[in-house]
Amino acid sequence: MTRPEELALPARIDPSDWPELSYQLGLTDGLPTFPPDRSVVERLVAGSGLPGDFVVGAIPPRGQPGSVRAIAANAAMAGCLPEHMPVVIAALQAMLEPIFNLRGIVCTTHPSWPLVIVSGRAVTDLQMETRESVFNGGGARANMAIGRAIRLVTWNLGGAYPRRPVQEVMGHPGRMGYCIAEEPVNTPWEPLHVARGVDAPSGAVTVFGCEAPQVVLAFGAANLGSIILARVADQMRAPGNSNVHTGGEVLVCITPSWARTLAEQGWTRRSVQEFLWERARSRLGDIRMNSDGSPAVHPDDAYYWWPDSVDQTNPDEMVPVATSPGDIHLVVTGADSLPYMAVCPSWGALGGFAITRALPEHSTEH
Amino acid sequence: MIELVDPRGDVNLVPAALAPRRHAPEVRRIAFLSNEEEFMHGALHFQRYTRILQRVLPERLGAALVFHSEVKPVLSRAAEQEQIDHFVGWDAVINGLAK
Repeated sequence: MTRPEELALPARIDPSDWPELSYQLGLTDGLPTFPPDRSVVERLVAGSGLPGDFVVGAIPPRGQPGSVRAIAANAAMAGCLPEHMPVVIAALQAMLEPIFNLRGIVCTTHPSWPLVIVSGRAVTDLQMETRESVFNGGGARANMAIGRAIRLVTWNLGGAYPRRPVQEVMGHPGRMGYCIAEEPVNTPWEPLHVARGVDAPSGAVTVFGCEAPQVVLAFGAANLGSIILARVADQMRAPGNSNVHTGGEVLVCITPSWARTLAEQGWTRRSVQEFLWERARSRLGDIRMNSDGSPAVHPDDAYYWWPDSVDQTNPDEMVPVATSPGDIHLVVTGADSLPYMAVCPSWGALGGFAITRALPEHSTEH
Repeated sequence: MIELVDPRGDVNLVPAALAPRRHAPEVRRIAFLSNEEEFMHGALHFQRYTRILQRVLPERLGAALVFHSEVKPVLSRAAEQEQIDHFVGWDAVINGLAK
């Protein structure tokens, strides 16, 4: 039986026919799209700075070649502008690095999705939003269009359809489009990409496979770094969080105002990471139990993904949620108002690890 | 009228063919490829599940069967070609996890 997405796309149509045609052919996940008009697509290809037939990589799970032109067709459907294309391409290149395990992230039962984080000068160039409602685009075209383009690439080129083969149990709103930007000016700390050792005068893209944000409030807490960061650590080590069991990496977002308060109290990115890494731990006997409630500490039960430093035979061992302090990624973003924070757990040691790529010089200027 | 670019890329590419399916009476060699972490002392898991299948399947198929079982080194990744090659020639391969 022919599936809708296997039907041929007409070469030419009346633009008013596109909405229904896109649904009939299964070319969208449910949200409306713009038609991939060749004249628009070619402008997007030009914006990428790459030849249209250049293949960025095989897009999992189907493995269809991701040519720049096919990617641009999806970006056109998402509403991208030519200057968005270098970000879309860089994000896909990062996701296609083998260590990211994009196939796994796309198909897993776990609710992770590649979050695209733009930092540095590109945030200003592309007029990206970093303030109120940042995790749903903040009203900025670039935030939404870039995230949406990634989604449509995995849908149309990757064939990442629910149940065939995507097995995600509950879903993730970010799968509709998941892109944020880091505040480039009103922050006391170096940009995310600089902290990760990437020199990028034009800005950079970091991709990280993670869950939806879990907001941490500062109600009832003194305006003191160690008190409020301890609350963040408590959120990170909630027993049902994936990282508690699978380690790996975690994303923590801090509002600009709160980052400045922390900096005034002497906190740096690194000291925040180290504090959270020390505090966000769980007693092994409380998180791995046999059916009778006793600690599961038999050597044969050991998780291969926990570092050797974790004594898995000791029920009182305190297990960190991240492999190292540097695996807790801090992003300064959100409204420049209240001291809110957000924790995005990840797929742990199984994939989706943060990868940062510099954007080409002047590529996002327009 | 507008001209469209197919967002699915070149849809004329030939998809990878599925392995031939054998009828049940012909199946004599069955292999298992586990997709999960292995715990000797855990609750339900693939190893235990395969042991049950190794007992039940010969009864159902009415013949002696040969079994082979392997675990993927990293549960979240597709098996590497080198490991897939171990399963060439088996009548049926069951890949999965049990929770």
